[in-house]
Amino acid sequence: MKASNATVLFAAAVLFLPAAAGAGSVKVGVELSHPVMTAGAKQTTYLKVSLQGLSVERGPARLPANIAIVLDRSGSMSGEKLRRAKEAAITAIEMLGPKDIISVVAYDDQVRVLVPATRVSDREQVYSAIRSLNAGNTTALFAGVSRGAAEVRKFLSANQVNRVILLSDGIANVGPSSPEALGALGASLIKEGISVTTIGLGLGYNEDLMQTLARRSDGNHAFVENAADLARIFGYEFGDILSVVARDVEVKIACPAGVRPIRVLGRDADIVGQVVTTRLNQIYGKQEKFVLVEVEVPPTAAGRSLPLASVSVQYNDPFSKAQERNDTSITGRFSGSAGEVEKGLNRDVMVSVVQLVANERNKEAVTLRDQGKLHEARRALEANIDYLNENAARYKADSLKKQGKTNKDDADNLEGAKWQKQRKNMVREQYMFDAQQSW
Amino acid sequence: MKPRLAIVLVLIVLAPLAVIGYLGLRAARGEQAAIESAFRQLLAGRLADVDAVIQGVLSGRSRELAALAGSTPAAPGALRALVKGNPLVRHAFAIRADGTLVYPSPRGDLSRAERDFLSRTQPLWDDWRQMFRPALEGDGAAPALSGPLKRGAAKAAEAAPGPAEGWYRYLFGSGLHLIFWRRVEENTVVGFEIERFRLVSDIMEQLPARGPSDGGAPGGRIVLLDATGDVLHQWGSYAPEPGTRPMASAALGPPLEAWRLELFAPRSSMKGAAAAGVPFALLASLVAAGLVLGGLAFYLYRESGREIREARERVSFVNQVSHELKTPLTNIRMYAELLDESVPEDDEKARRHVSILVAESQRLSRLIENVLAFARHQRGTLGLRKKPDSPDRVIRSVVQSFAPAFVSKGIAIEHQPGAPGPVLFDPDALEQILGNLVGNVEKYAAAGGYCGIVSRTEPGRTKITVTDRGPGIPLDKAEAVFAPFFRLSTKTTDGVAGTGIGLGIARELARLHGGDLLILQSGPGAVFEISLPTLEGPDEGADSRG
Repeated sequence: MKASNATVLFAAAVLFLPAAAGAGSVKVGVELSHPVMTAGAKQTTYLKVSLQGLSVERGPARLPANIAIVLDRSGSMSGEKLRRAKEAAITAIEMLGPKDIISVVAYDDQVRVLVPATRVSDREQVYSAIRSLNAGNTTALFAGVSRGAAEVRKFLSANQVNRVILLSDGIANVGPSSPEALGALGASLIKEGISVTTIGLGLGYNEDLMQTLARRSDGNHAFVENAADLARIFGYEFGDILSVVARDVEVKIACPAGVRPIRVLGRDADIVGQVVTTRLNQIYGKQEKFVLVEVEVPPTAAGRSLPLASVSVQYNDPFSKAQERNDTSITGRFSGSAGEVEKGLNRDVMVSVVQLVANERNKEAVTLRDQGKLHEARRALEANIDYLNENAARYKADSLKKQGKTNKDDADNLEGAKWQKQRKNMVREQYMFDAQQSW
Repeated sequence: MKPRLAIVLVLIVLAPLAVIGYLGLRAARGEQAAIESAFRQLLAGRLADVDAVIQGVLSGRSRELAALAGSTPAAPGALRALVKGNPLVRHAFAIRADGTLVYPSPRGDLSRAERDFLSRTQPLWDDWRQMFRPALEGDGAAPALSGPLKRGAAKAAEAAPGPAEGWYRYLFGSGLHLIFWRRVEENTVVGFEIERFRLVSDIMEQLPARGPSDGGAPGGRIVLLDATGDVLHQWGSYAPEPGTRPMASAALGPPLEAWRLELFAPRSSMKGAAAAGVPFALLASLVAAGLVLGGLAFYLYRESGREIREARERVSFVNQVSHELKTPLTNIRMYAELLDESVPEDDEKARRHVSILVAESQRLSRLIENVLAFARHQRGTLGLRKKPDSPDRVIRSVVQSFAPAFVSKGIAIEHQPGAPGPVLFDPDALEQILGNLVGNVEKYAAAGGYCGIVSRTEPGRTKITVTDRGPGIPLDKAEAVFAPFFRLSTKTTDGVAGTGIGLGIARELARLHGGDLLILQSGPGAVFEISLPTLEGPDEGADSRG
């Protein structure tokens, strides 16, 4: 019995070893949450495509960056906030080299290009333009992002990191101002390879708008309550930008007939029939992004194996300046033994699944709280905490325990004045999980 | 007198100023209106320039999209890839003439985005087939250009029987959605739903941000508004107050005619340099005219004031002199009358001399009485001392006093008494009135040789007429003779001494009684009628000063 088990495990290990392949800058992994599935029943399982950015040490140390910093200079930014923002921008630009391109746009009710897109060679000129910035009136956020993107577009290239960094502490009130409008703009910009990172400062900004803009354009998103932290956040952001190892990443997961992709957790994706496609604008070095697909598997007899998906990852390797392509397929095996199914369980994938499922529930709690259903929101969060703690114990995952603590914190701050800040925290956390943002 | 003069002078100054000011303002306003209209035209031109920029963006995009439609196979895979790669295209579709959607096909596997597209465009598809039949069938039928469909390029429409490409607009959810379509094959149209926020972003990129030149809105503000009136973009350094009406406003050209441009500018910018000069020039000329007129008025005021002062001094001088003369004259008159009584009847020569003395002293005393009465009248202190008396007695006394002079001039004086009294009146005043009238007969109507005095009593009224047969008084001067210092200038009066105040004083005294002095009839001879309201008895106040 024991021997046979061992043999099965060995076979599984050989047959269903997580596939990893590729010579490019991204290591692609395809795993199933349940490599061994219960035979004879219709069931759902999870497929995880992980994209690990390699630390690149060949050729030039890194990709040149093309960054537009878009600063809110509305009245609410005046004083400490604007001063810190200017300092943070300058400190971050210090990290850039002469091949990088920087532009600085400031907006209040109108837009002004402080530094038109230019190579970072004459730093002092850039710095003095930033230092000259004063606070103005209201916030034409859409126009600011548009202008920032236009500056990036001047030197748009596939072989660099094209990025708009938006810092705002206020609600857009001039021009298109809805999360949908900014999301549409973000979705349009990513088609050109431009991501927008959104940094919300203080408690006055619209986190839905900022988060949607980042999500639809595959940028980063951060909530900075205290302007003193801006320099650190800019540091993280520039660190990400300067570590990009792959661009324009398309993940295509094609399931054979009978296997039905149901949904992609946490990410926007197109599901057309049997084919799931999603797109990432870039992969950062030494960071893992993943795409988690829930698939429905038809009842299959024990002992049989079923091809579940062929995964194709295409990306632009800016170092080899080549279009890299990685094809992998994955097969599931079926067993009548519950123990075998349990043993085969991929703990890492399950942790990711629990993370994102709990994340969805966290979003639902926000929706409930937005509707004024305080009690229901708290109950949803408490249920979520139980769910997380249960799974943390089951998979011995500290990350889930930590997520449970975060949910506890959320549940404790649903009321009164604390909610405004907590909501920003929650939206920010949700985006971190969905986008696997590292900071 | 003086306040009235002041009012007149103020009017003399203000009236012309008001007229000048009104005319000037009207002229200025006319000029202002002309400048405003020119300014508005300028602003409208500026908006037209902005519209041209936006139209340039649209026509550039439509060219790109047309090329893209031409080069992309009308198949799901190619169109999906196009949507993924083109930032301006939110969604794509391909439709055949028979109304079959090639992509996204409602029968095929669709992504959520594709299903959303179909559901938000569902109401359009019937309409679409109608639109496309002419374009797709190409049979020369008139293209259905009415309604929301518009030609993208006029040239294409002329060359082909139906339009080969164009913009289509529809409203869904919040705001305007645009579709660009092109006929790519005999029977297929490829269309692109435009990501409108990207279009807004692209348009913003071409429009000026705030720069030193203020991008076509110097000192002003241009605002681009969408169909629901929300601001899409704005630029220019001027920040209008909320609720301000724009100085110029214009809809964009098709296919964005639901969007609008508005231009705001401070009112002061409209006035401009030329216009600012108008009120200043007007003000300056008003001030100049005001100064001139004011100076003139002040001079006149000063002059008239001096004349009035001098006249008053003169009157007061005459008054004092008259007073001084009165006492010695009274003595002269008294002693002359005493002398007249004591002169023997037979001393003809002495009697004649004395009677002349008496008559002349009486005349002089009447003159002085007149002067003093006039002075009192001027001061407003002319009054009466009424007492019960007989008017006829007064008349007799007057006739008696004039008798010697009349005899010597050959004037017959006749009194028909009819008012024996007693009634309440001021006998001195009546004597003065009669003295003036009869004295005038002596002076001016001596040639007639007759003076008739008739008195009669009517109920509550005593009337006395004095008639002569002299040259009379022309009717048109009948009132003027009563005015002070007025003297008829005729051969009758020339060379005759007179003060010109006698008749005026006489009428004033009559009127003080509540009666009047009138000229009844004129030429030949003059008839004056004194009418005095006379109440029987002494019960009326003995001293009623006017």
